[in-house]
Amino acid sequence: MISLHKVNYSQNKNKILQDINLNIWPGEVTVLCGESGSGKSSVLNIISGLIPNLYGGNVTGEIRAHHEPLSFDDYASEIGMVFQNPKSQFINPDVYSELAFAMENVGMDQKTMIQRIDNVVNYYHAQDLLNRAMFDLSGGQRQMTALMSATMLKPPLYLLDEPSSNLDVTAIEQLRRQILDLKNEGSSVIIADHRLYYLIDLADQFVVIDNGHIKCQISRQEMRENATLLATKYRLRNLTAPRLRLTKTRIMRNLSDLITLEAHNLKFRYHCHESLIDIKSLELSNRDVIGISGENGAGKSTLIQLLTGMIKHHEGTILFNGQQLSRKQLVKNSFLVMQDVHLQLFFETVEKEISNGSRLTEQDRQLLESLKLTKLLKRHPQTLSGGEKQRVAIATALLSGKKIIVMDEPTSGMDYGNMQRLSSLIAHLKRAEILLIIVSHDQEFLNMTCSKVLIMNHGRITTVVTPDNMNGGIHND
Amino acid sequence: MRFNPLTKLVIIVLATFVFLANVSLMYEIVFIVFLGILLLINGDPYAAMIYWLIFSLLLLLSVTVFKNIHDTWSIIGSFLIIGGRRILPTIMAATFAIKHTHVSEWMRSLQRMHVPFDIILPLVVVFRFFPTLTDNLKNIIKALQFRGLISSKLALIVHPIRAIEYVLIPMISSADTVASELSSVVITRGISHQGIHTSIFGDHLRFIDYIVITSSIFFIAGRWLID
Repeated sequence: MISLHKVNYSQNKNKILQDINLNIWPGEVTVLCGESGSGKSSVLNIISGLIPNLYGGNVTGEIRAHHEPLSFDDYASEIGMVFQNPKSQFINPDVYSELAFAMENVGMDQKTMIQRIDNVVNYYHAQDLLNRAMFDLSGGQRQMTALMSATMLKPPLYLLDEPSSNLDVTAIEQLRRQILDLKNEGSSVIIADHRLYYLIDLADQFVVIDNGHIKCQISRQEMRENATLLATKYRLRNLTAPRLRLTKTRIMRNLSDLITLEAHNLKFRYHCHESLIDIKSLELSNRDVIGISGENGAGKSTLIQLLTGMIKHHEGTILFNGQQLSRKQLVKNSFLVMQDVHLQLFFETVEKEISNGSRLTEQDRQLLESLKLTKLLKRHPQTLSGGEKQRVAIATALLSGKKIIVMDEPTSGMDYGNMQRLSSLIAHLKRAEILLIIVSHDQEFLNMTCSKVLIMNHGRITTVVTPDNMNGGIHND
Repeated sequence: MRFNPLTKLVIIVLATFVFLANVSLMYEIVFIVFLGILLLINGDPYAAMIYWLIFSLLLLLSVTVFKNIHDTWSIIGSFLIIGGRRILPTIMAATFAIKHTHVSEWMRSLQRMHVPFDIILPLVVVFRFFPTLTDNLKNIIKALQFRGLISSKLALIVHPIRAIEYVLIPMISSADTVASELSSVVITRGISHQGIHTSIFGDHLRFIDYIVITSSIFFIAGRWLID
């Protein structure tokens, strides 16, 4: 059993966690929920020992595992941990070595390691990932590899930090089954996540954390009986599995405001591999806010890189307002708001970042007001929170005068409140003369934001979903 | 074919020896051919070809254009060419060492050589750190292109000062996060475990390793006996 008794955690005099009392029994699944910045990850890091051993800070109170006080060196290998960022949670260049890494560290013999990898890979149906380079995998595939690596030593305790944030619906279902198996094997699992629907039948208790305090603990029974009520009360994200049900309608536009982007016979592949992208015909216009969805590794990121001119297509044509553009011209007309927004902020103040050094007009200032950036204009962009950085990147995109704006997974790791705010921001923007494309596997977000969603599978657009066509018309591709 | 990390270390030591010692042209040619063959066997034919080509070009220039030193330009040119030829074996050896050897193999070999764990751990993180930084750099360049701050990757070379200014801020701000995230991962995967670590690729010396190590001894001895 793991128990936290009157645990407080502070860093630089900021109180991050206060009076945390928590008991976790073997074979139990505990879900930590709450808004971004509420302290969920800190609870996981305290249990794993990363706080204070790696992140520093001051921890008081009592933390016990199996009735013994915790010792960091002793039990690092007894915990399977999966982190939030799929980009930096692997240490080896390929999947095979990554899976072996934890076993190598405890000195397991070669034969046992090979046998265990074989079992895990068969269990997760991940044979095709085994010899791939980690850097070539999609976010979801990396996340899955991280989970497989965490299970290699069969630890009694698993700590999962936002494990679903980069996964598509199918992969989340797989994750659910994996957690169920871990639970049945008698392991304790503690999960911090915004998405809760896949955990409803799985979790033994839900712990709502707000502002560093445990606000309440809800049993599975209570959650089942009063799900809607509790979700509203504690602002928890949808407790039912999302389905694509688009609510937004098309935007009426004059011909003069119309922006179109077409692709015909578009093909792209890496070196000698088979085609990654193979699209016969694609017509997008700013009458819709367009969503692109699909399973992990379906080619969503590659498609938007082709459409924005970041990579060169091997065959086919891309037409912008009916004209064929070169790759450079495509880059000139488009703006990609990346998932890692901090990598696209270059100046010392938000104002300079947005204006690129030129003076802001009254109209620009109004837009900044609507994005709630006016008060932040003198701040250094890199000191802002994730959501604020994203709003700065969007403002930069809008004021750049570019016509095609693409957002890559804008809601990754966002709580419900921030997701709603982003959606209403997009609703506010869609009247502008821009073509908005949103790449996301977050169906809840697509439902409240888009009027057309393209579903991709193996580099092709297989289905086009619109509000009138909820089941998705099969695309003649 | 796989080489043992120990063999790769021996080649680095050998390349450093050749870098420091004064060797004849024939010795130099044989050594470059030898390193190229190692790269070929290691599975990097392109790297081998490119290094051979660079060496041939440098050699050609030094016996033709820069044969006689008579003015400032020929001094600078000759200095760069000779310097290039000197450093090339070390670069080839480094390529040979870095490519196709897994983290665990290095760790196991360093442990066998009784290198303290406090040195191995930061090395592992640093090795993994560079690919992430490269990945981030690619994204930063993309962002700069979208912003119209640079027109192409070439602009970074043409305007190096501006490039540093633009690239450095997001790089540094991301480096701190990357370093702490990577450290969390290596620690939770049990890297600080006190006992013996193993490697799934095995750690015994193969026939090819013995051949390369013996050849290296011949190279060192040959410097005095033949050269």
